[in-house]
Amino acid sequence: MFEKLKYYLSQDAEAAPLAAFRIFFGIMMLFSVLRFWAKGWIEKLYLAPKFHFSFYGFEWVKPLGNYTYLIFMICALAALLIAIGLWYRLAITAFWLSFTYIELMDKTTYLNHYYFISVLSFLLIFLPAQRYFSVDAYRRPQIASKLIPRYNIDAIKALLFIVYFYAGLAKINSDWLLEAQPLATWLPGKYDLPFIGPLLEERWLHYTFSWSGMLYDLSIPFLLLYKPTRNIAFALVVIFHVLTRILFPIGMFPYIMIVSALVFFDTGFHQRILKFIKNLLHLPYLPTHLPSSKAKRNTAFEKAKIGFIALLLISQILIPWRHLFYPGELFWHEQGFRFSWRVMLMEKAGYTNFKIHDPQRGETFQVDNQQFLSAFQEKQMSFQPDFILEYAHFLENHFRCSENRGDLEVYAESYVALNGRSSQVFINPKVDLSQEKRGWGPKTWILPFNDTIYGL
Amino acid sequence: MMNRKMIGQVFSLFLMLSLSFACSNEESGASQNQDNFDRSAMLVHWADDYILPAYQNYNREVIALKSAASQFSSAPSLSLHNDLYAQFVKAYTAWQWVSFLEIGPAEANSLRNFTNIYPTSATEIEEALANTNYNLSLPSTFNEQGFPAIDYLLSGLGDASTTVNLFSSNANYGRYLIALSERLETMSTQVLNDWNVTYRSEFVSNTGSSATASTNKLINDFIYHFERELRAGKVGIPAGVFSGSPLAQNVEGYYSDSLSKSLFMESLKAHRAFFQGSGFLNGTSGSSLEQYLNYLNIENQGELLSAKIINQMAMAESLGKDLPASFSSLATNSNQDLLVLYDELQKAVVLLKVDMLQALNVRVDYIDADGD
Repeated sequence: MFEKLKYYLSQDAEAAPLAAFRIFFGIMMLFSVLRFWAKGWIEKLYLAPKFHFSFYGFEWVKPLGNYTYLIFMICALAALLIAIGLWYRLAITAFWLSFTYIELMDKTTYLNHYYFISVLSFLLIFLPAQRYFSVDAYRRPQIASKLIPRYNIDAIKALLFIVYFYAGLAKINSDWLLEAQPLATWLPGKYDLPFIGPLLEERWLHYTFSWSGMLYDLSIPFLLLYKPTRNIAFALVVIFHVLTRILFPIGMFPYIMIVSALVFFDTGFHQRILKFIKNLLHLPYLPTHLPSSKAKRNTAFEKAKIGFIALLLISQILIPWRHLFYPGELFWHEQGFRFSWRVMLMEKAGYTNFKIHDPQRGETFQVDNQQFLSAFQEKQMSFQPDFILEYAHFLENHFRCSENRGDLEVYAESYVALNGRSSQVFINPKVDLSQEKRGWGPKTWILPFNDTIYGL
Repeated sequence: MMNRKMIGQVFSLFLMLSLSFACSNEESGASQNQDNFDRSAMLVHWADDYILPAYQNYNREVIALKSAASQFSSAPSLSLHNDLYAQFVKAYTAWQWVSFLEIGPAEANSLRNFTNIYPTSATEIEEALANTNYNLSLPSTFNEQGFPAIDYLLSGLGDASTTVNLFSSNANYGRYLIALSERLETMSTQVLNDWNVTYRSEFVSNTGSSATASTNKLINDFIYHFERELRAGKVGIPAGVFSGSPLAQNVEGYYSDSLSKSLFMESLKAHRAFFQGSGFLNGTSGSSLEQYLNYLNIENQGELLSAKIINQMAMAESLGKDLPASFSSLATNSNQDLLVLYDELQKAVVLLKVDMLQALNVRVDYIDADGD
C-alpha cells in the first residue's frame, strides 16, 4: 500500500493541462470580478448596507468603505497575473486572500460556487501551474518544465469529483426525488422561455429534471474520469450547465464548471489549446525539450506540499458530513448546510420580525428591519437561524446603546416555508435570543420541522 | 465502453428506487392542472379593469378637489369649507385604491411619497405659509404636502369658523392650499396620461418572469403596501407596535380625526379587490392572484391558500368594522383593539409574503444578485 502510494507520488504527468487550467481559471476569475463590479454589486452588497452578517469567528472581516474597491482591484489584477502566469505564487496567494476576504465580508452573499473558488484557489497555491506556458517559465527557464508530478492535476480532479458527487448525494432525498421540489416550484415560474417555456409547468418534466439532475451529479465525475466516456460526459457537462444557466440566475458558475471539466482531458487536447493561444497572440515558441521536475522530488518542501494537499482533500470529504452532529431536519435548521455542496436543494422563504422588551422601562416594541437591513439581507436573514441570532444580538446592542437602555430581551416572530409547504413558526417565540450564544452548539431555540424529509 | 457508465447508473438508479420505496409517503404533492394559466390576461385585466379606472376615478376626484380648493380660497365661507372638506374626503378615499400601484409612472414620479406621507409636519407647513417660497417638487417637502398637509389646513388650524377666518384674513393660506391641490392634480394627471399613452402597453407586454417583469413587480408592490402602509402605517405605528407606546398623532388623516378608520377600511377593500380580481368598477372581474393560486392548486394546511388569504382579510375587515371611526382616540383610549387588528393583518402578511410569494415563485424585489 505504502509502496503503491510512493510509486503514485513519483509519477509524472504532462504540465499542459495544468497550464491550460491556470489560464482558464485566471480569465474566468478576471471576468467574474469585473462583472460583479460592473453590475454595481460592490456598492449595493458591501457598501450600502449598514450592517453585515459575519461568519462565526470572522467578525473582524468587514467591508472597508471605499477601500473595498481596492480589494476587488487586487483580486482582478491577481486573476490577470494568474492567467498570464506572471509572479504566479504571489498572484494566486493574493487572489485567494482577496477573494476569500470578499466572501467573508458578508455571508448574505454566500454561494457554494464562491466557496468552491476559495477552496480551488487555495489548492492552486500548492500546484506548480506556472511551470509551463507562462511568463514565469519564459523569464526563468530554470523553473520551466514539461512534466510535473501527476498528483497536482489529480488533486484538481479530486476536488471536482467531490463537488459533483456530494451535490448528487445531497439530492437523494424525498423532497427532490418524490416531490420534485424545489424544481416544481421554480420551473413553472419560467413559463415565458421560448420553446421549453410551456413544458416547464408539466409535472413529469419536474420529475425528469430532478432525477436526471441527481443521476448527472453522481455519475459525471466517473464518466469524466473514464476515458471512453469522457467526450460524452463533457457534452453532458455543457448541456447540463447551459440549461441551468437558462433556468436559474446563477451567474458565472456554469461557465466555471464547464471550463473546469476540461482538466479531465488528456494532454494532447490541452497542447492544442495552448498552441491555439500561442498562434493567436503570436507568442514565442514553446521550448520542446524541457526537463522534467524529477530532480526536485523528495525535498521537505515537496513533502509538506503533498501533506497540505492531502489534508485539504480529506477535509473536503469530511466537512459536508458535519450536519450529522445536529439533531433535526438539516434543511430546516441549516446547521451544517453551507460548505457541503448542497446546491439548488431548497426553496425557502421566511418572514421574521423582532420584538424588543425593555424590562426596566416596561416597554415592548417591534423592529422595522428595513431600518437596518437591505432587502436582500432581510430576505436571507428571515430563514437562516444563524443570521437571526446575529441580528438579534445586533439589535439588542443597538437599542441598548443608542437609546440608553439597560439589558434588553429580544424575541423573534418568525415564519418559514420550505419547498412548497405551508409556512410554520420557525423560532421559539418565547426564547430571549439576546441570551443565546453564537457558536457550534445545536440551536435549541429553533422549533422542530413539522414534516419529515427522508434521505441523506 | 458504456459498461461502467451503465453499471454506475443502474447502481444509482437501484439506490434511488430502494430509497424511494423505503420512504414512500402517500402525499403525491401538488398536482397541477395542465391547461395554461394566462398570465398576460391577468395583466390586461389589472391594467384595464383595475388600474386605469382607479386612476381615472382618482384623477376626477383631485380635479374636483382643486376646484373646490380655489372656490373656497377665493371666498372663504363655512359652506364652501364644508364642500371642500367633503371633496377632500372623496379624493383621499379614491387615493386608497391607487396607493399601492407604485409601478411605472407612479414609481418614476414618487407619487406615493408626494401624496400621502404622514404624519405631516405642521412646523414646515407653518414655515411655508409664512415665507411663501416653497418648491413642492423637492423630496425634502414630502411632509408638507399631499393629503396630510391639506388635512392640516382644513382641520388642523382650529374649528371650521377659525379656519374660515384665517383663510379670509391671510391670502397665504389660500395660496398654499391651491398649490397643494394643484400639485396633487398635476401628478395624478401625469401618471394617468403616462398610463394611457405609453405605459399600459409596456405593462401589458412585459409578461416575463424576471424580477422586473410586470407581474413580479406589481405583486411585490402589493405586498409591500399591505405590509408597510396598511399593516404598519395605518395601524401598527399609531398603535405603538414599533415604538413601545401608542403614537396617536401618527394616524392617517389625523386632523380630521374621524377619517382614519374609513381610510383603513377602504385600503383593505382595495387590496382585497385586487387580490380577487374584482375590478374597480362593478362587473369587471377577471383573472386574479386568487385564480392564479388556485390554478397552481396551492394548499395551506389542507385549505386553499387563496381562501385562507381572503378569510384573513375578511377577518381584519370585520374587526375593523366594529372599531370607532377615530384610530387616534382608539390608540389613546383602547389601544388593545388596534393591536388585535394589527395581529390579524400580520397573519395575512405571512400568508402573502411567505406562502404566496413562494408558491408563485416571485422573487423579492430589487434583488438581482446571483443564486446557486
